Amino acid sequence: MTTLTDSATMLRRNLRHAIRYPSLTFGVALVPVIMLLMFAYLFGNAISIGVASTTEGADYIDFLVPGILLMTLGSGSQTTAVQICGDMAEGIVARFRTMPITRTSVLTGQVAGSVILTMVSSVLTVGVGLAMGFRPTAGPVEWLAVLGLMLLATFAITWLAVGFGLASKAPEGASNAAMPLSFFLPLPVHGLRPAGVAAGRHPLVRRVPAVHADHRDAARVAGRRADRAQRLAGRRVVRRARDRRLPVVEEAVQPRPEPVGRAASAASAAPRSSDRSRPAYSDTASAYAGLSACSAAAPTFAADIAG
Amino acid sequence: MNTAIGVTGLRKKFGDHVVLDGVDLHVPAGTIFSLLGPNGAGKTTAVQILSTLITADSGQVTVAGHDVAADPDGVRAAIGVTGQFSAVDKLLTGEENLRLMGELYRLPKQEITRRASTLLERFDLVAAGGKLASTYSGGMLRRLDLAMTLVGEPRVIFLDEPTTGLDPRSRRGMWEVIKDLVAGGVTVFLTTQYLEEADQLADRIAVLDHGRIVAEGTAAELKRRIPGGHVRLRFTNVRELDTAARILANATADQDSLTLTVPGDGSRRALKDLLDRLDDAAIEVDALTVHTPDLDDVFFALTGHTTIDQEATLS
Repeated sequence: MTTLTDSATMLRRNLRHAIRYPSLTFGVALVPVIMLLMFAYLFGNAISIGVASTTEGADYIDFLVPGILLMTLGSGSQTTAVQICGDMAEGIVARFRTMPITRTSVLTGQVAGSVILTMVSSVLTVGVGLAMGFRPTAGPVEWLAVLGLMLLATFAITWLAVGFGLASKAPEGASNAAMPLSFFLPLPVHGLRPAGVAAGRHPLVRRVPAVHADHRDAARVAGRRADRAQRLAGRRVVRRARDRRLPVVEEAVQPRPEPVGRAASAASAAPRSSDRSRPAYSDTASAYAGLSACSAAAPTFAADIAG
Repeated sequence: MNTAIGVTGLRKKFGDHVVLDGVDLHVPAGTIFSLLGPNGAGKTTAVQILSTLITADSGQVTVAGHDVAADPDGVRAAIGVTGQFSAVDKLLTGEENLRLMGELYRLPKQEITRRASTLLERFDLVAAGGKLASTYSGGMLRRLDLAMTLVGEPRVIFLDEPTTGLDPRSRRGMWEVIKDLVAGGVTVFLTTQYLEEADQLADRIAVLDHGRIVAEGTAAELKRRIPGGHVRLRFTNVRELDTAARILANATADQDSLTLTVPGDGSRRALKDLLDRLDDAAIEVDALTVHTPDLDDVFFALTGHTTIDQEATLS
């Protein structure tokens, strides 16, 4: 009970910080929106040519919004790391530690604040996306699932950021240490380009959980429009892979023999892309499960550092 | 009298570096105890152990009746700590900082409001209460810091160099506040490197050096322990200095500043004797100063960090 009370107090402190330090707050909340606008209006024309040829009826924006949504997950991590590190340097945490309070509440308050901020940012992103013509076909349950997964992933990433903040000696170092969480993690995400582009086959890219998560979201949005038979075919691929105890992703993203000629390529593009995103879709769960497992381990790890 | 802080055989080392090497302390409740020492003597480490921030390697430490190792939460409920660097949330206003403390002590809302406004008034922060702490001056930050420490109404307060970096006026203001605290029955454990501060405030003083207590007692007792009094004579040239040094056998000459330091208590009689002897030898004295022992002498004598004229004093 005291843990909850203390965490709530610390959360209030954190939210007050967000109000008092608007430049940081707006930075976190608006960066994904700016990215969304940038990809849609600056690069969108170039990229969407690919989309038109690979998907039936889906616009680039339908791929882009889920992709940007994944970027928002990590967008607050640098701020979190900097804030935690700053707290340590200010000596306020030393004061908290000489008080009869739950020690982890300093961290849980910060994490809760960051997660809330990230969720606000996500809602903002979706809102702007809708205004730009994003037309998701997912139902309420599916959206709930997306929200749940996003919450868990944000939770995990934020705890990692807290760990970086604690381990860093100066706020500048904390900012740099947490950088990969906010940039490198989402950069290879498929949503920024049409699904099925060759870069997605790179072994490194294939192992970024966000890539698969994005496949999932993109498949949600675009795949619904694909033929039901193809979906079944996709499931068969997964089942076959499981039977052979093969890693699903490896099987799924194995390049098929390329049809010769541009016309043939364009013709087979639609089934290929959905075929590919289906199996990755099933892999998403495990990728996210891994990330969420981190979220269970991260607080303990961070608490250890905090001492 | 009740013991507020009891320490026996306290040891702490960081790697190979021994910071505290068998410290024993006894602080009666309702008194100001000052731990005096040069930089790096282990003062802050001692405060960190007593305030449950770090653990000791060995030794028994009880604060307000609770064992630091066995019942740290019991200790935390009874203490307040104001460290060397102000532990204030600069993105909150002064009043919000105080309220934050009240919330963390889980006080009822009206009580938080009452204590916050009382403390703002007491520390002369009413006008600044609604402003962000980042706009505060150094002295205001220290006052707010101490006010935050008092929100929980601690019985034992640790002040780790509370006036370091403050201007003389703010320092005196802080001293008044500390004196008031003790009048209210609180025990204060104060570390400082300012001897005047310890002299002004502390009921008892312990001198810490290289992790050991090298002396303990009241300011008066400590001053009595060393014969720090001396008379300093300045001459106009080296020849007169040398002549005087020959006559006054126990004196120490410093050729560079043309001064001669003569041990003595500076009483009228001793001074007259000294001047008579110089007159007899027809030596002209350019200037004469009488130095009575103060805590500086005690400090330098005990910690061995002596300057040239302090060495002269002791020889």
